[in-house]
Amino acid sequence: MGVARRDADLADIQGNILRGYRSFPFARFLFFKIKSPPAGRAFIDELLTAKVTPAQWRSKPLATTNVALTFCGLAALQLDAQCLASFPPEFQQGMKRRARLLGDKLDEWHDPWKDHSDNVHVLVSCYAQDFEKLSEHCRDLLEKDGVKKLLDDPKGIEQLKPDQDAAMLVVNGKASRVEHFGFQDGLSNPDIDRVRGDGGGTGNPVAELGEFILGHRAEGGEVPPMPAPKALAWNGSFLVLRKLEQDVLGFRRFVREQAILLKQVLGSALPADTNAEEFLAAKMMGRWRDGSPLDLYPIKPAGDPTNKFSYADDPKGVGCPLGAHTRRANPRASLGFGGQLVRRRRLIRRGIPYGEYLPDNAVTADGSRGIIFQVFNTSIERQFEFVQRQWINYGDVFGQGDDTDPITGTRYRDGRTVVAGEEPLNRSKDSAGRMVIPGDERTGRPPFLCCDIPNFVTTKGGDYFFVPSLTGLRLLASGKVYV
Amino acid sequence: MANVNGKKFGLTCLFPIIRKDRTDSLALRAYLRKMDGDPYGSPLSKVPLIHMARFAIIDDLPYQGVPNNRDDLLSDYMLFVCDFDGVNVDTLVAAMIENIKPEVEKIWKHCVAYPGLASKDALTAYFERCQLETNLFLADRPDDAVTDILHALVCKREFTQFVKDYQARPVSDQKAGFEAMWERVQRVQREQPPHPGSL
Repeated sequence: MGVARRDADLADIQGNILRGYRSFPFARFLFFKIKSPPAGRAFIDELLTAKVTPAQWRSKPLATTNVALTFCGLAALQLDAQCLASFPPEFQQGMKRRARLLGDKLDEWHDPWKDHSDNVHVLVSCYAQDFEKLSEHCRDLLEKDGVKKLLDDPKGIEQLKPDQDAAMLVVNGKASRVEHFGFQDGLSNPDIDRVRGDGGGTGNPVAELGEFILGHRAEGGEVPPMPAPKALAWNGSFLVLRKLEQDVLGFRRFVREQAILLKQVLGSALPADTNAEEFLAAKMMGRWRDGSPLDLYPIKPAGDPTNKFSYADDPKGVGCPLGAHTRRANPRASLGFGGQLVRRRRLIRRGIPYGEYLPDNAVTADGSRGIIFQVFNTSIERQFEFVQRQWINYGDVFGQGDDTDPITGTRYRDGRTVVAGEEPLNRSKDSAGRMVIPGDERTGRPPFLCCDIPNFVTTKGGDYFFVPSLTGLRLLASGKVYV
Repeated sequence: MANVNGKKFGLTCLFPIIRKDRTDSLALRAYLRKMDGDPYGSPLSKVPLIHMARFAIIDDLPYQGVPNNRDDLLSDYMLFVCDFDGVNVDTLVAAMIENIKPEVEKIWKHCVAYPGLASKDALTAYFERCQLETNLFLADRPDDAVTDILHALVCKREFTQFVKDYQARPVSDQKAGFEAMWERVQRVQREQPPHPGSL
């Protein structure tokens, strides 16, 4: 029942949504402010002329260009009021006005987000196969006659600095798909109906296209609400972009210190040949560093970063703790009903690290490092915000009370204190950073309580973006957006 | 009865607000908005049998489809939703009169036909008159009273601290630590039971 399924129009949908740019290891994010509606329209037209990259290409480009706009950006184009009003409220508000709900602290944000104004209107994301090509591609784009003219015009467009560079990490001299804490990343994306995945079908239940692309059938058998007019919204998506800084030294130090305690508590019950630090880090993450899921490989890593597992046979979290990061972010069948309860909370993740990988023996850390977290969905509130609020920054549904995600959850300074002037995330006075690693009755392994977990991940900026289809971009460039 | 689940009663009432240029509605809204300034989250936390209570002002029911016709109410309404330990409305009204008399007066004086606080029975009858017939009352812990839940939270907090302090210690220390923890929990319960909203 419900509306008919349609194939994804990959020539109209922008790239990096349904198929990731995994083969483009270098990225640069450029930010622009629109100073007048004609300039905004002309800028989009210039980007289209330079070629915005769709999800499907005839031959692989050396570099890609994709375009997204904030609500302020759409307003700066002076779209019809009815059109603007048809966008969902959370998108209209933007990420900084949702900061408290998300557990973010605005005073820690970096430029260009720092001034808290609504200056970021247009995001241009460029990916390339090597750094030189990326620099050349961005330079060509900015020095294109039409773009240069707009940048020089006081009523044109303004580039907001700094640009944000990001790149696949180089670990021990080799390009690697790990994130800064040393875990394989980007492994848990959903298989999408009628879309060939990045690595082929995993055999997991497929997600309906309408959960990620506007105008298509979603999990309820319906087409989710979308902005008007249809020509603007159809084949578009909503992007949540967050600059997440990772405290790598803090994470390593915590794991090292807690592992000493873990060894004391588990004693001989610690699986043979298992390094306590690796065991603890994997229990916090839900996968081993090589990506093998604890649900399938609870004792030691197996070099198998598969996505085909469900937690259905591990209701008590003996293998993968109920509070582990990957289990919270995508609980699969943890909540019962064959995973049906999570099917409306799926996200496509396209994160890419920024900053240099910190060598394993580093004692100090220069510069900032983390991930440019990007998720695509058709309802920011129902999907991304729900996951962030209920599953990452709260844990009741998993039987974890108000314990937050051990890796990415937001905790106040010492896990107990609310910063002056700030509204508490929850009122409980014992909402410390904490995670239970359940014991194993079969082997006699006792449980372990991981305590005083600090913040390892801090939001440094970001916003909610609308990613129009190529048709939608042409409509915006034409200025003829009629509702 | 559909609004009783275990030891809990789920009350849903709609009280019409006196309509004089919406003065009462505005004053009531202003008062309700300030209620969370109470050190324990709400003055209703002084009523020891209330688990959860919510107020909302319903001032209009606009129909949002096409054509967009306004559907005006004859008066504004105050929605009062409350889960409490008890089997009837009388239990709640009696506890509210006993513990938060001034607040009851400040809130319900804005409502049409409010009988005042002189007679508990009259106030109970008033609440019952404004009560909505509901069904499928879902209580999270139907058989636990407010005091039971507060005690459980104290136990949880103390037990967590005990595990944190003793999980790596020898069994003999753990046994002594557990006994001390349990004694502390009992003492708190006996001598200084936690106030609702304090945990």
